[in-house]
Amino acid sequence: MIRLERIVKTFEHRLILDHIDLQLEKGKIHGIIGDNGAGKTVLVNILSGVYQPDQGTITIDGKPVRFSSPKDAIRAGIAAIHQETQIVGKLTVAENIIMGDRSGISRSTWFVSWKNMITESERILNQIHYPLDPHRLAETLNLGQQQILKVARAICSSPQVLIMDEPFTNLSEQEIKTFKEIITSMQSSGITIIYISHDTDDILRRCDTLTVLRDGQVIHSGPNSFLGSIPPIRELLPIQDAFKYPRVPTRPGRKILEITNLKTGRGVHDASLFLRKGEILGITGTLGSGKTGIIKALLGLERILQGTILLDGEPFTPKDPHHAFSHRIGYLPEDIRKDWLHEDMPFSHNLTMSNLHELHGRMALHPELEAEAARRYITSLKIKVSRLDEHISQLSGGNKQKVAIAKLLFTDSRILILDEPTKYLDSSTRIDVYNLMSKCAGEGMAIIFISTDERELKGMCDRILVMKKGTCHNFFHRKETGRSFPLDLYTAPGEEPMGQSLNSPTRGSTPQRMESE
Amino acid sequence: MLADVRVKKIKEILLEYKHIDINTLSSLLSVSMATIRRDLDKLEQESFLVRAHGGAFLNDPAVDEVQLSGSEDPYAQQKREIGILASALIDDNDIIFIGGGVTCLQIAKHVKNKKHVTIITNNVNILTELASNTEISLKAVGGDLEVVDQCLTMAGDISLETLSHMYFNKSFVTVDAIDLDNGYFTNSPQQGKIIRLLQKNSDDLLIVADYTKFGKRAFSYVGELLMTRKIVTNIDLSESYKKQLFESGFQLYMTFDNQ
Amino acid sequence: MNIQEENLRLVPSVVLLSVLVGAALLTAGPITGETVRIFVQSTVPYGIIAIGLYPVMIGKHIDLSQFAIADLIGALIIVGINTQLPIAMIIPLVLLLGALIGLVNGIVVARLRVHPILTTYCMSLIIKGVMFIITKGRLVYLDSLDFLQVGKSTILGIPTPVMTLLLCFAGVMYTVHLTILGRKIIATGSNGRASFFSGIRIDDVKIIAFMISGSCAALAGTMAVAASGSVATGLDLSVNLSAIVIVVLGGTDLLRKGNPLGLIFGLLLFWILERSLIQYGIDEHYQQLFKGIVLLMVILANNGFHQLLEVSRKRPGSADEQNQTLEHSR
Repeated sequence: MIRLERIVKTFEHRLILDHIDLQLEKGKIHGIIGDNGAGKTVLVNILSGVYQPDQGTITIDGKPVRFSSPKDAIRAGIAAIHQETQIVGKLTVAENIIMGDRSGISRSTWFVSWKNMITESERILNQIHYPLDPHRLAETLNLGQQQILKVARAICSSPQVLIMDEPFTNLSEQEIKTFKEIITSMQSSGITIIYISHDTDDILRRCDTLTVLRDGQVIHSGPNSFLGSIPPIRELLPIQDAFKYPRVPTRPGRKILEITNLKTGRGVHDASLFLRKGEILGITGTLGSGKTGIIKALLGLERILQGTILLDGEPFTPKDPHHAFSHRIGYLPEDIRKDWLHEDMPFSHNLTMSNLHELHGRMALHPELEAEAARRYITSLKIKVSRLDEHISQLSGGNKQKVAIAKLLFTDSRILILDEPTKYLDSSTRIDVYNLMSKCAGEGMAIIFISTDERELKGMCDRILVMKKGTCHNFFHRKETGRSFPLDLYTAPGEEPMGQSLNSPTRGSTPQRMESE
Repeated sequence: MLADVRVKKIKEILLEYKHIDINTLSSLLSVSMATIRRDLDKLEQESFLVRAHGGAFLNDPAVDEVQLSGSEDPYAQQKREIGILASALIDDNDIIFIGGGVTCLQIAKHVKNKKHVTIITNNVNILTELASNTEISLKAVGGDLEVVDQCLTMAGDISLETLSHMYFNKSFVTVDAIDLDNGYFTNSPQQGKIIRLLQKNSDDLLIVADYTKFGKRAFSYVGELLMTRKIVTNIDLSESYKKQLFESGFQLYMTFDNQ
Repeated sequence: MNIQEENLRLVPSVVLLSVLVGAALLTAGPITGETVRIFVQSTVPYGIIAIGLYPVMIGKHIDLSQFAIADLIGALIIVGINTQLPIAMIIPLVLLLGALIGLVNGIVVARLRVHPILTTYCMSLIIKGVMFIITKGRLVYLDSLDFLQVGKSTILGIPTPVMTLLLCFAGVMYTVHLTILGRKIIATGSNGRASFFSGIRIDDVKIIAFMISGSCAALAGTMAVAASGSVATGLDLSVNLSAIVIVVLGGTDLLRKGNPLGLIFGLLLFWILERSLIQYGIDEHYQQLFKGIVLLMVILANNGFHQLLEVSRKRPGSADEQNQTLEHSR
């Protein structure tokens, strides 16, 4: 039993945690929910020794403890999986797992037994039923696999308490399922789990007890059954998720992109698809299914071994992202902080980065044009920046995503490839992004929407392509009216990708535009 | 509150809403109904307004015209964008109802390129707007005339009677206030009755309301928040509202400023 | 961070600069026009090299081969003039050669992905080897002293070397801060991956930055010949590092993006430092030691001041933001 009493934490005179009292019973799953900035992350960081409380005490089984570093917390049996990635890319999977806890594998303080390390890490990976090659370098793993790696590392120290801060952020549906099984099995072996997620539904479904934080205070803490009364409107309805996506129907126009029997060096064996103006095509699949492989081929990042890409009926062999941009194919990467934004550059410079020619006067870049573009996107997308030259690193996650999308829109692309554009976002920004996608489709852009969230795909897309082992596994079409996607995309039988519908488009050939004179 | 400050407030309210009832004024200004009546009497003597039973109308020559003044509406642009977006939600062959108010009028203005659409409306301005459009089959609902957000609109028992025999694929209506805890409100009780009827008579009830309508209450209660789950509004809507509505399963359509 | 704050970063440099200027003036013996001229002339090449280094360092790279390039170009000019080739032909040719060496540097770094320190160090060894072959390891000097007149002439009342320096400075600053290319250089330095996905051909950008650096080095070599009329082989790496110090002092350290004003201050600082050390009459053998210590102190003062700035700039944000910054710094 862990007890937190009167925990206070301030940062620069700002009260983040205001006398928090919390009790965590052994072997239960405890959920913590709250808005951004409510103090969830700071609270778990105190519990895992990252921060030290200004006031208050933590007791484990009645004994007061004080953690001056995460190491102390791990020794006391509290391990954490944080939001920020702490994987060391240049080390192998095994090294990443064993990192920080050598007790099980080595007799000496200074030397590491490589053989023991490998066997130990294999044992842990087996324990969570996720086979990874321990010799692989961690940087070659994708975000989802890295997340699993973090779990493996946390379990390595055989903790009594496992803190998971937004653990599902990078996982595909399939992996989330495995992950949830891991949680259940860990719980049954007596591990206490603290679970933080923006997926309130899942917390409600899964947790034994629940704590709601608001502005650094506990406004509710207790068994989960009381929960219905917390958000006033939640109790009133069963949530009908599939119906909440604001997609304005469009009539797809002519075919703009056509990929036939594509085979690339890695990942994609045989993929065919087409994309029409004004439509949103969803692509989904588990990790390694080849869904990103198609996109990499489109950007010229993967060598195309076989197959053709037709852009407006013309053969197109992409060379690099620059080449794709010049053909008005815009790609928004999944990890915008690493692959898209320049954190230490001003907002306005970020916005215009992919289309600098737009700003070019006769002799030099035109700062006025740049400022005007920046202001235009600030008003239309409601981006919260205090100055046009504010650095991106100062913005919140939701605003960063808005800047990222604005930057893509500024390129004036006619094909938008959005790779998990809503993954890290809170609901209020997600709804903005969905509306923006719908608007772009309405204006005649063609959108490829890569996601592992089935609900948003079903809500937003005209067609959904499910990839499996490098081939187009299933293809689904939205019917004329209503939402007719099957309940489970991964198991339902679907239409063949290049079937009849390709040769005889059933609808008119002009896209319906949203009037905006 | 001082009498002259209060009178000034009433004037402001009337200039914005064109008409108001004593109940609302009394709750807005936190004074007794008797006090409000005295103030209205005084303003009637100044010919600023015209008293009607239970309320008052702005004595504005513009009200007499069919097209009520819309140029001074600070949210005209937002309402227009909502109209454009909402009109995109109309499918071919739809039978739709469009209610009173300028936002609804904007929907009618942008119904284009649709085939076999039937529009039923109680909004007189929509009738004049669409009169020349031969593509659309237009039907009017009669009743008692009242002014709803700068538009002449039918209401009352006759309207309800007519509408009760109809069925719509989609109904677009506007409300004057939306509150997360309490639901929807209109300034006119008659319009609220129509909306409640439409909830039963439509596949989809869509609320069109610019972002200023949220987080407020108005005089007449229409129904709880979940009487529909489709709202068309602006991106300017506050984050907490977006979040709560989306998480409650609302289909929240939003317009983007197109300056 | 806005421009004002960036300028604030220069405060330590400016303070030190004024102290040194004051000290130099106080202890100065008779300063004649001729000593100043010689001094300025001999320092101009350092300035041009530092300016050429600026775009490379903004792109988070480094070029150690510049002084070797300058020496080679100097030797080639001397050889060229001594063989009676017209100056109007020699100068464009050597500038082109500088750019070409930069191109090779750039290709090796960007395309073959060799670390810039290795690449440019090896390049400087190769160039020195070539020079050794050309000069046979001897001091080369101009047969006629006509070319030295270039160094003594003036354009619009400003000495030609100084004018060259100013033009060079203006050209590079314009390119970096006002053109598409410059924006791409800054972006590539800030986040290469993001720049690549943003449709910037980062390899080309890096190559061009190295070409700018190479051409500036060639120009510096030309100016050096115009000042002294001779070139000696065997200059070592420490001289090139002086250019790096100038750029670092100017706020273009390897982690932050540059500030044109900073470059001027760095250059002036370096100038005054050299000057005052001579003025103080410090033994030549101790000058290096002294220079190293003073520069180190300036850099430390700079860093301390930057940290102070960072702290004062931090605004109370949301808990999660706080969390992130703290996480980051750990």
